[in-house]
Amino acid sequence: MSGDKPWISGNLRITKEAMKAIEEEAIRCYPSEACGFVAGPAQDPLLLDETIHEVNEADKYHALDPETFPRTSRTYFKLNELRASRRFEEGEKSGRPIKVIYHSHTDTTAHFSEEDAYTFASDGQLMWPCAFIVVSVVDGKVEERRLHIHRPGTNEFEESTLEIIDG
Amino acid sequence: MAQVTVRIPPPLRTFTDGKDEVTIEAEKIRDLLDNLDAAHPGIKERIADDKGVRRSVNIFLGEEDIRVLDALDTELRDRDVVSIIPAIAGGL
Repeated sequence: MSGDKPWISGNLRITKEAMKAIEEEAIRCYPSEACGFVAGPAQDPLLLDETIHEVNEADKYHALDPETFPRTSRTYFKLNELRASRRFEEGEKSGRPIKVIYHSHTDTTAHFSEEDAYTFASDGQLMWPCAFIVVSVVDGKVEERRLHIHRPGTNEFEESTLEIIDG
Repeated sequence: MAQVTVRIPPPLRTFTDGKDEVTIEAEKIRDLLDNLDAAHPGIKERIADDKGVRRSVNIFLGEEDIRVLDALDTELRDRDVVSIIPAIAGGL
């Protein structure tokens, strides 16, 4: 899958402005988890320069079906996937593909959790053609940010480098 | 029996010979999954288990997640469009 989408293999660069937008949203949403996307130009596949925030619908789904969705937005994020799939299509058509799905963790590290891996890989396949940024917010302040990528052929993820650059 | 268009996400197209859409006849979402699996064996197990639609997958009827409708008992009409979409979710 990485052939025409090199960003899924990591080693990405993100502009200060795009990273700042993620972190401000993570702080605004604390103690709930924030979520959204990061896009960038198709002609510079490893560059991320535009953050797009999404609404975390975890509480809605928890109220609707607490057995399937036992967690609230404090420890879970879920967004509207129909709208997301259209964003992916529009990004491809416009030459500004979505390259990263981001979310925040509350009062812990920016690791890629078992729940994250369960959702984003199945039978060794990556479910969305993206890399993943996780930002941790502890006591209302951003503590760390990490980039995670899929390990092809497995349901596992590993860290990759994320360079923050001047826009 | 309604004739319904089912949109298949890229990770599940291995079950549909690469097709991004298939046409299935069904009265309810529950039947649709059974009939989809009859035509494309193995696909249902990736979408649902004995408790219902997996947390890692969503089924939209038109613009609505079937979880806010009648879930697997959601009724279908001719020319409905059903989209199967992997979840974007996670957390601690």
